[in-house]
Amino acid sequence: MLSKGEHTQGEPQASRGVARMQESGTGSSRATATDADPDPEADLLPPPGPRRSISRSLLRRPTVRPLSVQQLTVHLVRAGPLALGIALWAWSLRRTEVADLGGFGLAAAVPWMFWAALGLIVLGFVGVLRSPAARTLWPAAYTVGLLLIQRATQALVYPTPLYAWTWKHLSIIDRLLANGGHLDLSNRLAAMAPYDQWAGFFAGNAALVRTVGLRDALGYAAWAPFVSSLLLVLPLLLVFSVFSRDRRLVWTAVWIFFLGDWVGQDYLSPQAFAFFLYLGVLALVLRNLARDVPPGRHGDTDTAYPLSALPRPALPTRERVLWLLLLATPVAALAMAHQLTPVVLGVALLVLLLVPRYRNPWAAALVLIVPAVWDATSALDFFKLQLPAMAQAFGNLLANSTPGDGSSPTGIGPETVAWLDRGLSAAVVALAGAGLLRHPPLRRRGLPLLLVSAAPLPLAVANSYGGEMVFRVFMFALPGLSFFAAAALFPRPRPASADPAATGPPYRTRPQNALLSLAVLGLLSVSFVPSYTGKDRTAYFPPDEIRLVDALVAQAPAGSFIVGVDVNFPEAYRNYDRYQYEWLSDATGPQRSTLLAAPAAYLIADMSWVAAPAHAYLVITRGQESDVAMQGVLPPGSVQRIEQSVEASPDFRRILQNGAGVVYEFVPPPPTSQTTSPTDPAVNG
Amino acid sequence: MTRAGTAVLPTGLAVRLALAATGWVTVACTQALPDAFPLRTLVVLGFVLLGPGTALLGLLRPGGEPDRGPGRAWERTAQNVLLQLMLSLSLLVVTATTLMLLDCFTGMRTLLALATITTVTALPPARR
Repeated sequence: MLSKGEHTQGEPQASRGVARMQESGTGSSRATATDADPDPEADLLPPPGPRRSISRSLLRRPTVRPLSVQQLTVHLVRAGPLALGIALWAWSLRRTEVADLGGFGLAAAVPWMFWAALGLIVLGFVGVLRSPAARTLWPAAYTVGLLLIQRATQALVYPTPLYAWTWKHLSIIDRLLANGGHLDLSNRLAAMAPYDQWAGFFAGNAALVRTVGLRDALGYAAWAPFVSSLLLVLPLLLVFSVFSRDRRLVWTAVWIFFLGDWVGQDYLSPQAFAFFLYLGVLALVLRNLARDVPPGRHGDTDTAYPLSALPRPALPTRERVLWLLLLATPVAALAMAHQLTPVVLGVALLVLLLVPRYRNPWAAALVLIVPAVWDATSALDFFKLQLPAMAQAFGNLLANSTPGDGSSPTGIGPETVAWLDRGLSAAVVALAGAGLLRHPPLRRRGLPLLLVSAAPLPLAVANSYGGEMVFRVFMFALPGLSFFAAAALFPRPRPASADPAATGPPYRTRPQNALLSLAVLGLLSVSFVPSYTGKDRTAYFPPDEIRLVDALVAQAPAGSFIVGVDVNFPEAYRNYDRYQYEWLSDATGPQRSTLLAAPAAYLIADMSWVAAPAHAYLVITRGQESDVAMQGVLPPGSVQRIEQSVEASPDFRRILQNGAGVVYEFVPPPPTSQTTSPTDPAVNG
Repeated sequence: MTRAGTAVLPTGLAVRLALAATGWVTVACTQALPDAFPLRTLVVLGFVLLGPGTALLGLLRPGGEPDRGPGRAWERTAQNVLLQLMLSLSLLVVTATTLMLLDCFTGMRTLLALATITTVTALPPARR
């Protein structure tokens, strides 16, 4: 491998430099300021000129000289922390015990090697950023390392996929595979109807499962967080590089994004897929649909600012039309796959109309009209049903921005994790504020990014999205927040010359800045782990629990009524088109009091409508208990009380039980008996 | 047309023919190889993630490369790869959903549709 400074024989350095400048000229002298960070990897490219065949280039290469000790040391220093970190991480996986997770979830179950690995990765990353010659591949490698530790750990440590919602989505894919892809666009499926009305993600998965020849998506579901996060690296890099030519800032921003993204919307879900498309469309719009705008008062100094970037050049109309044509497919896929994200994207492009440089009425129209057509056709029944409720919820800022369903974390672990979540989010927001203050040129130049990040905020006013809205708003704002948060870690450069064509090496930062980056990234990394994995006690379902529910579904006839204390159990929605559901934790007010006072009687009244051949069942699992306890969904001891009451009742029969839970079947008394005693020995199994 | 751009995008008849054939090679793999066979998995994933998007991008690729200068090579490559992934996954979603809406969905039909789209968009010569 040729090192920097060497070049192919017969090609003097100067002529290549001249040729490079000619290639970069676009008729404006400002174009030579394109890159204040001359890419050292460019020295390895054959010089511009008539294309020569690959074989000829190879023949003309000089023999590769063996690496000197110095070069070897450099490579070792760059690769060492990564290699050692991954090795330690892999070792920690074997030593992690997931059988008995506590209030801190996986964060308390991983051994010291895990934290050491994380520290090494952070250290190595900050180290490679300081070296000008390693600005693309090494940071990318370290980012993959970070993502492995953050989001592949759970896939490797747990035998089954996490989160009840993953299982819900698996059930949807299973149903579509089983019924030949027949979508039900009416509201017959009640709460599950939107997944058919916006079936894009599930349709794609069903097609993938069939063409690969899998039985279902279970085999790869656990890897969704890692894959969906890996996909995000590309659009993030592209968005950030629109606003900064400094690759250290770009990569630091990418890292802050992943460290701040604790909300866990990366699992196998339409939202994860939609977020990738959202960022991708934004990246393409910001890169390619800029307009030429007079520079303004600060324009030239902003461009010359080492952390900033040249404004993106405007493309001719023909190319803009081609870009719109290209964007039509992802926008269509987005409209088909997710309810919320097209709205966020539409608002973002509307907001960009305020910025002359990114005023694109046609792009905004595309992004608004395509989902509107979908909503008016495939998803029409959803809106017919929900619009009145949505109109009522509109404007209720307090209710809409309150996370969750009124649950509150209970216990040292959950409470600490909740504070860490908030702390991590607040830290990113605070850093972003600091970055905005510290670098006015970035603030001005990065205004489109800032506006796009703030665009989802009004949605917090509009709707609660099932208690999820505040988390989604944070997630959509996170790219912009990360960029300015990263900027906070860079010092203000010494006053640059006013000459916009001034280039030069990226401004040097002192070792103290590296230490600051190390400290901040280290703190964020350490906070991320419990924020992201702290609820694993409720998110992880051991195989026993899955077997229990599978056994129930195997014997429950179509039309049956399945009641659970809480929705947090795996396969809760298996064969959901055949069953009806109720979750006792949803009961509020007087209903809840009745439930807790006399659980068996409440359930009997609740289940009495079920007629043969359908049955009614009560499922109580360990995962539900954890959720109820850790989230404070029901008063302490409620689950035990419900179970004891049902166990003692003659109208319920225990039909399934294992270490993970128990299933009761409701056995109503025979309707004709009047004088016989309430207990019928033939029924009491 | 920059070097890094051509390294990733299709030009030349041979490349276009090869790209046009990828979908059909994938179809053949799904027929010839057993379910969940590793090679079949790799081929299907490779095609589904990159095939249709690469073909569509080759057809509609906007020119006027705004990124001059070798320092931007990685950005051009990153953008092209992003487009290939986005377009391929989007075409998968749109195709599968459309087939479901038309009540004629099967995995094979989805793959055939994607292979057809890939062929139709890969064959026309590049505009420049």
